[in-house]
Amino acid sequence: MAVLEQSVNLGEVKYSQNEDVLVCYGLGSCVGVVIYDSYTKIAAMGHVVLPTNSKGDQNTQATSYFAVDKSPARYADSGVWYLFENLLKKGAKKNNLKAKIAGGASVLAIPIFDKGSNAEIGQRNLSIVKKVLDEIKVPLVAEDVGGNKGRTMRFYNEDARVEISTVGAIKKLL
Amino acid sequence: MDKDAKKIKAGLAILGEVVEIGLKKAGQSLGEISGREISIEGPGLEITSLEKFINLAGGPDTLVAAVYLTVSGDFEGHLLLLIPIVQVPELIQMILGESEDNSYSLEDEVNRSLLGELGNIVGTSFLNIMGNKLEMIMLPSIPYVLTDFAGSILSSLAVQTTTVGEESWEQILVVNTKFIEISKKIQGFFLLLPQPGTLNQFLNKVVTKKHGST
Repeated sequence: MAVLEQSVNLGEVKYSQNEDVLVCYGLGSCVGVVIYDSYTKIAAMGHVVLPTNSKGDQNTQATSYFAVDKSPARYADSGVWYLFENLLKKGAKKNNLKAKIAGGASVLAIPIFDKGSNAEIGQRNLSIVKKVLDEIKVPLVAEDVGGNKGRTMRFYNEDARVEISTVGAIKKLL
Repeated sequence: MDKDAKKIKAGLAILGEVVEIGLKKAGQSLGEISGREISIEGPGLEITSLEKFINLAGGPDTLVAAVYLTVSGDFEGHLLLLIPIVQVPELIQMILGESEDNSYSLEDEVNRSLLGELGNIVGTSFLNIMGNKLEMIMLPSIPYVLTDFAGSILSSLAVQTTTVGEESWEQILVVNTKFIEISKKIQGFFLLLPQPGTLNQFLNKVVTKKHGST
């Protein structure tokens, strides 16, 4: 079977249960989160855009509301929960799950400009993603985060490797 | 339609007209420094979805050179000039002429400043016209030149200008234009995004200036 590359757009979640490659193109302040089970070969990637749900929902667990939403990974808090719960539904085993993340850069946070609170969105996205991973006890085994350069993140389900492309640098393996 | 919505709509209509004039002037300025004929295409002022916005400059994975300026004064927002990186050497050649000494690379400080200056001229002439027509002050910052994936730049900008609310997620107000050199070799994208939270106030001012106090 031909290997397919599935593009995970802003706020989206995509799954791979075969050799399909999951990819987040052009991550800036957004964070690409992949959670996978190497034994059952079930993986999910989410393209997180913003730190928290603006509705001020204190309950970070994904609800049925997010299941029908076309961008379930829009927010870091509900998005990571959504990945986790749907992987388990698809048959992944909780104790096998591992996570890799990339992104959260400050592409436009330029020191010469006076910046508002939005400048640290990348950092806030990262801290919420890590906090939820901690809550659901999924170990974060690799990351390529921060800085001021954008990234394209590819996840290869065949061996759970992540490939990071950055402008002006050689490809990095996670 | 309530009074506020009417005012916003009226403000957007006036803004649309002024933007068009401003873009023409910016195109002329670009033509003058490059000694080429530049045509301006695109919808101008429009409301677009985040998804379309991310794909504006040829897809999120396209490598671009960007000139980024912030705008302050009566209008707060962001100006962005995007040029696919493969076209940068040609653009530099167009302005500086051919030179054996020039690598045409953006690693070269001279070329970087040249590109920054280009963004500066386009942005400033555009903002000057807008400011004059609307009788408002619009001040560009100094230009910042960066190279990155189009998606990384556009999504970061969208996130900065998107309030976290659901309603604005799908809608981004943007001046969306392409500058095309007449021989069609070079294509750049010129974008202006207002900073939310200040837009309604700005549109109110626009309407009030035009029609007197309401």
